[in-house]
Amino acid sequence: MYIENASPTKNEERYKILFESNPIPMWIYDLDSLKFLEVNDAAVKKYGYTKKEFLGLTLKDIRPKEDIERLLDNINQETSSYQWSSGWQHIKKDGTIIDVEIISHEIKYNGTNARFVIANDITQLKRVNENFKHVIEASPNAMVLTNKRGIITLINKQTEILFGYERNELIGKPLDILIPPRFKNQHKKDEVNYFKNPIPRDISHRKELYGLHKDGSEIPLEIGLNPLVFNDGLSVIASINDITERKKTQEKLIKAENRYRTTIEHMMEGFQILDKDLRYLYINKAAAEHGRKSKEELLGHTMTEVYPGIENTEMFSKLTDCMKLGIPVRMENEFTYPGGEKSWFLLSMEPVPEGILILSKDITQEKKTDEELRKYRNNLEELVIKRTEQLEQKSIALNAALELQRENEENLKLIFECINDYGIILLDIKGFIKNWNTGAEKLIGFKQDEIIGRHYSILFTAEDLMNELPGKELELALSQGKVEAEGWRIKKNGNRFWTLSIVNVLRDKHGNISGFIKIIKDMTEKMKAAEKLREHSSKLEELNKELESFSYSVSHDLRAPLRHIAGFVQLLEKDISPNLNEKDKKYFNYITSSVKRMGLLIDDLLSFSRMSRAELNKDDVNINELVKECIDDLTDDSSDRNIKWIVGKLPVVRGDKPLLKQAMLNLISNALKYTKQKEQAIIEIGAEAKKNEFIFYVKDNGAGFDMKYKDKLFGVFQRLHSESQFEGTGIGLASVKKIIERHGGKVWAQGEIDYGATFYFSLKRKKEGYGNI
Amino acid sequence: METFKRILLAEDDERDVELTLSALEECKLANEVIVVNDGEQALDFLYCRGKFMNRPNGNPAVILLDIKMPKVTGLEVLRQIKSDENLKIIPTVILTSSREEKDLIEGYELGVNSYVVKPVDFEEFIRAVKELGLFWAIINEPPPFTAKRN
Repeated sequence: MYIENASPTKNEERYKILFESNPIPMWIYDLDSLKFLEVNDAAVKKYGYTKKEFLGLTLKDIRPKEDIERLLDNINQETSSYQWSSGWQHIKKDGTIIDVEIISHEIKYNGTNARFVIANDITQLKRVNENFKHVIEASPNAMVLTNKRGIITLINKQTEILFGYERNELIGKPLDILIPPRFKNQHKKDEVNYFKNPIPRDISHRKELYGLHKDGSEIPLEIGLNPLVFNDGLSVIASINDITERKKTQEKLIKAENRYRTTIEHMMEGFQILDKDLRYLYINKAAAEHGRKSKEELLGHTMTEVYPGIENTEMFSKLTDCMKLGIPVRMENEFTYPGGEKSWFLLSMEPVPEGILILSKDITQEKKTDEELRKYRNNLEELVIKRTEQLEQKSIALNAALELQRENEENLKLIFECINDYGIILLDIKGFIKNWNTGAEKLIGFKQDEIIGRHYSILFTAEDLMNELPGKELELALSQGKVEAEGWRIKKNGNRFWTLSIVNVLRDKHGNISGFIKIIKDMTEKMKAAEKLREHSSKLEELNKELESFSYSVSHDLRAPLRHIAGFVQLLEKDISPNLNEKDKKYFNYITSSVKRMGLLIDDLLSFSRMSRAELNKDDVNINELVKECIDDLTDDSSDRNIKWIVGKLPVVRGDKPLLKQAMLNLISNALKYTKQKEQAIIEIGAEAKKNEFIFYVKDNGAGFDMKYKDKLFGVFQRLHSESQFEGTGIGLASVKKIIERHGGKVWAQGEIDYGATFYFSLKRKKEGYGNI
Repeated sequence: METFKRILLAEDDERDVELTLSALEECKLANEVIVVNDGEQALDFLYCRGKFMNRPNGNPAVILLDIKMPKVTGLEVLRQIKSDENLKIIPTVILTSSREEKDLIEGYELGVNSYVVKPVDFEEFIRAVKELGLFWAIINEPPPFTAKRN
């Protein structure tokens, strides 16, 4: 503004009007004296001074005193050019202070250096500004104001708290400082985009937002953005909310929900939700298992689709009732699977907003158990009834038995009296006779009235009494319940008799010992018989011994003279043989052969008697081997003969080997002997197995015999042929018979004259069927 | 132990003595035979006591014992001989008319060296004696036979 350059009058006029009528206070002051040189009406109005008063004041007078120093400094530094400054305060005449914005120009006024000032009252504006700041500060959210270049211009206390920075650490810094590195790039783009379309928006719903704390940690945030237009252009105010707690709560909620979901999924009860059309919305594992369908088969389908016919069940009608009436239902349901199988379920149906919730529990096993229990209970009842019946019957039977017992007692009394062969004596516990039957009376001689009340030791011999036998007998009966004894007892007439006695303890109905029952039997006759038998057998033994010594003597003493005769006859014959004629020689021969035969007879007789007496030493005897030995023993002598041996398979038997061998030797040597006139002798030895025995045979094709005499074959010294025909003493077959009979077997023979003979004998098998051939 | 090359025959029956000696003679057994008539005398001889107190020392080459003898039986003599360290090496033969088993068994149990059942047939007896004689006569190279009765 160069007022000097205008036409002095006209311009002056024009400016005067502009100056005077301007609604904004204006003045001109002297730069040296700071005196007001001119002041307009607006200033008069604003500051309360009259124009005259104003012109008497200096610039200092409208300033607060503390400002004056700054004012003076400022004036000195001011250049002549245009200047804008704010932050100044003026005092009005009434003392109120206003905030002002000053625009000034240096001018020449009436030849002096002066300054033209426009003072704009910004008190109101400043208050609004302050209020804005207060609002920001008071916000419970963190508030960050950022200018167009992304520089933070304003923050509040909450921001300090949230991000951990001091206010001065953030103001003037790029917003980047609060963005976690991983989001920085994205944030740049977002920032650019936002400024293209600056409208208020909540950016939290789109994505998760995070801020960077001073300590480097990330903070989950919710952010609202608002564009603000300031003098210097567009700024953005961000309202930031820490949602850490909310996040945590949310996570917890999610976790809890998951847990419930998992629990439901895995619980043993079936859990299903159906919509109002009975379409499966949710189904847990157990429910699917209960239905024997996969989740895929069920979800999205209706119940009637999946289980056709289910609409006719009681369960279905309850289900629809539950949904219609909104009342929970609990029921036990036997569910029939499409295959016809059945299971029991406990169902709990509950209306829920989606439709219906069904909880199911498989109770098939419980049902079964219940059923079994019921059956068992029924059985038990039946059993109890049966038992009761049985008991009734038993009690009837018991009554009958009691009746019978009474009868029995009567019968017993009768028996007691009637038994004649046995003496029955009832004793009290000390051995005194309480009762005595007729048998005892008959046996011992005392009448009942003579004996009752006397001690039973009266029946014992003096010797037994010395040994205190009666007392011992009762003691033994007490300890054992029963005693059996044999011994001599005394009759009334003093005679001894041999008794067998049994003493039994008697008990009353309470089980206490009430006495004894003694039953005696006269065994004298038996005893005598046994004694006789013993005598006989000892006599027999003696006889046997005698026989033994007899045969011993025979063998020595009978043979000795024979030997002498034979010896001396031979010696004699030798001495005189040159003088003997044929006849004499024949006589000598007769003597010699007779003596020899006598010797043979004696030997055979002795061996026969030995066979009868010798003890059997039984062992397993292999007849195969035994026959082989016999043939070996016998064939040396007959080696020049033509003999055909036919030996079958023979068994093992139980017997005395030497004796059996003797028997076999005798039979085989017989066969050899009686076939000696045959050109071809055939001797066959064999056996046949019967159930309990073996039948052996020795068969020859020799002289045979007449069956008429078959009984004589086995007699001692019995012969069917003359000595000159076949030598022998007639003791061989008798020995065979003896041996076989001593083994429990039998001998027999078959034959025909000139067509041979077969000798049989039987021997028991060791066990039935034992020792197969 | 000095061997006294003689046969001791203990036999009570003079007929048997006669026959035995005849048989021994028949067999040409060169040893001298001393005959005693019972078991006691047999033991007296063996132990040089009683009437044999002064007999020459030495054991007989062989002893022939009858079983049945008065006073002390042949088996008892045998038992004595076989339980005596000095005597048990003398070959001892039992001559008996018995085939009784218990005699046989007892004889063998007592350790008899041989056992001859006197057969009724004298020829057989001679044969048996000959078989016996071979047993000891050959070994002992007998001097010229002399039979001597005491």
